[in-house]
Amino acid sequence: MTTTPNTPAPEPTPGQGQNRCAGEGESPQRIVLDTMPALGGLYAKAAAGTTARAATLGMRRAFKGLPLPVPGKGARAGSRSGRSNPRLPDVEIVVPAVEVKAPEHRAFCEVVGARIRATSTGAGSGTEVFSGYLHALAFPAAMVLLTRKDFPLPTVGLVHLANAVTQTETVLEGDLLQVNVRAENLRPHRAGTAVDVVAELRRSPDAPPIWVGRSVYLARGTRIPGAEDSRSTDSGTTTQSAAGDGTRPEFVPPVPTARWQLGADTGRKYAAVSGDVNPIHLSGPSAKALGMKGAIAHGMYTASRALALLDTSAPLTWEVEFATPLVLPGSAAVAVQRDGRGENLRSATVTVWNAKKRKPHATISVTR
Amino acid sequence: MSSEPTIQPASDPTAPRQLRSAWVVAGNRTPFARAGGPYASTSVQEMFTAALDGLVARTGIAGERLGAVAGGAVLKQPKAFNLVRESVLGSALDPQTPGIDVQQACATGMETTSLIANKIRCGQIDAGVAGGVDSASDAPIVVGEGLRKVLLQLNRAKTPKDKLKALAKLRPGDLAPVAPGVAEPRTGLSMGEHQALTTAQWGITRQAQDEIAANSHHNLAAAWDSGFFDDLVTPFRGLTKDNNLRPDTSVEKLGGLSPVFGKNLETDPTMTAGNSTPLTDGASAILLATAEWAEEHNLPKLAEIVDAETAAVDFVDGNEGLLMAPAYAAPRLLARNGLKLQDIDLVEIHEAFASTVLTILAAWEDADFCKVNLGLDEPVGVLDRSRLNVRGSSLAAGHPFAATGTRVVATLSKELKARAVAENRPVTGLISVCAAGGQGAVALLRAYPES
Repeated sequence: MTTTPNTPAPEPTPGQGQNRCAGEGESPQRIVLDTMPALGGLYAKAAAGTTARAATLGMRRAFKGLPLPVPGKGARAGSRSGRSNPRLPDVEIVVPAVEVKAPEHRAFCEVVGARIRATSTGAGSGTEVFSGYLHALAFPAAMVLLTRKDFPLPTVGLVHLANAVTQTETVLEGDLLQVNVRAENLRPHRAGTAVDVVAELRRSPDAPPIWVGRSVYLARGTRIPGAEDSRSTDSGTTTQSAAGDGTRPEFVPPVPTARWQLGADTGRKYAAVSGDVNPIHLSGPSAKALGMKGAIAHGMYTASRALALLDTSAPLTWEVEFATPLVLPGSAAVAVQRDGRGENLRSATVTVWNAKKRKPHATISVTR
Repeated sequence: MSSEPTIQPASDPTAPRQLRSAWVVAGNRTPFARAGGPYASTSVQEMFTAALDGLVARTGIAGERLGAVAGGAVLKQPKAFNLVRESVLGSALDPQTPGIDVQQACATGMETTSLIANKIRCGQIDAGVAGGVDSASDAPIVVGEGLRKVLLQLNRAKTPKDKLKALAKLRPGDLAPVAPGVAEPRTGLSMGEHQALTTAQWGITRQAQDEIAANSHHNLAAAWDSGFFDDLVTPFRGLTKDNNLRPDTSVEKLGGLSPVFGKNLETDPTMTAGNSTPLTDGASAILLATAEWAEEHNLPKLAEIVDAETAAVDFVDGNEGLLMAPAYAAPRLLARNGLKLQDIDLVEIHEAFASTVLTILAAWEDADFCKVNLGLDEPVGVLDRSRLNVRGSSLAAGHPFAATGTRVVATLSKELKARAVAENRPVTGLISVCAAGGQGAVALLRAYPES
């Protein structure tokens, strides 16, 4: 937004200059932003729009494994908007031309340890943009959606469960990309309510997307009124990934091949380059205020660092499943399994876990 | 200062040159000291200069211009970029002697030996010194990346405004100094953690490791007691003997120590401070020369540097253990020289950890490893343990990284010569030194009964 860059996207109201509501009356409704908003304001809005109790309850339960509230009692679905309708807003957030700026991209790469790759294939010659950075590029648009008044889940308590990215083309520094974000598949989850937030990057409005990221978020302890009890529907479904029911087979640590030492400033460093200033990542006190044990690493920091470790290029798909949070400062055991290096890599898995507690933090798999 | 002419006409410049033999003619080192001990306030340059001067004094070559001195340190301050040349200038050698800095982690001393020996073999020089030095006490402390960037920008800034702008970027966290890590840059695992994985993979027992450690101490203690090191070590800073040596240690005593590496693996941890080398300070050097040069200077030809080989392994994803490269290098070296492990009279395997020795030996005994990884139809085979590290090794002496290679070369050369004379036959020795980055250097030495 040109005039008030720190203000989150307002709800579409007629006559608002900086937003254009395209395709009024069609489905979905398109909210077009001229520029990408800053995230600080969106978090402020998220915090203000969420009752503190709901947020901290959700966080505590999310990370301490406390028993779930009885459906309905602790549920806050739709409570912010005062509606009981659990439907997702039928809108799409569109930012038509976002430039991938080299300084921002390089700063991101430095923090997650991604090598700056010169490329002369596919889309021309230049510096290839790290696939993990493209998630950060689209994330503010996703936050615009998540912080809308009509979004049925509390933003601050959301837990990032999983992320899947399919990138079909190399993106170069300086490229202009259209960002489209929508939410779909609101569904009961064993531990609450899950939703997919889908971000697409394309080179022009009519072109097919070249980067699609599907983020699965969970609102712990939040029930969709009227939905069937998810615990009964999920029981027995163990083959489903974290995106589905959240049950996992017992974790057997692989043989470690590396170790990460994560300083107390890891969250602040990643926040500075990704714009994701969620207080649970920034400091011990700010995280504790939200019911956490301490600051935790951004899930997408862990994912990007794992992806950077593999040092491979697009086109590729990568999926990450998040398990227990990585408390900062801390160290994590890492195991890399891959069938080749660089351009010869076809399939790889990076497992990140707590060696002392034998608990997984994240598993990242890459195919290309 | 020497005024000896530095150009000597060749008798027949057109004649094809033959490879010459390079001989170890003398060795000298400081006693090795545990980090933070007697050498804590000493620089690597002082230590290397002391090792050089001891060697020069023992061999009576003060004022001589040598073809080259090659040395190096793993932990080196940026200002010591010309460490070896600076040490030469501070030594009793002719200041016209060039210095070469080499660094290949713990194999530095092996590479300097190979370098000087090859210069001699190729006819480029007649005599030179190989060595290495390290000080974990005098390790360089560097500023963090944040402060470094600010300082560089400050340096480039021309106006006070620009300087202020640079300084304004400074954050309190940037001021914390950064000590050199012992972790592998690509994995973040320390060498001990890496070796713990290899130890577990090969199922090496705690007992076997403690036996290696006890033997190392007992063998080194016996060597000191018999005066073996009298002409290999020069006292330094009041220290006359390696101060990590525990003559009275035993498998039982070592068995009481708590594990320090591999504590979070699925297998029981076996690696302790007793069967791992401590951080150590020290310097070592050897004098290498042609037979003619040795005779002219009335120095013994202790052992010939026959051949050397360096290998590296792909450890990054755990495809091979970090310290397993010697298991690849030695069979290559042996094959090239038409030898089998069992033909070797004395074997020195650097004890980075007791389990490093044991995993290498286990790999050589393993038919699958030898077939798949080395391409050998027959396994390298069993090493007669009575031939292993007979004068003690790094677990007892300590391990000042770059200094270990030439410590071993000097020790083995003297021992080979003594046996060659005593048994009146050529005696062959093999040295194996593992190094960071998945590297390993090995060398073949041979002594003859004739002087």
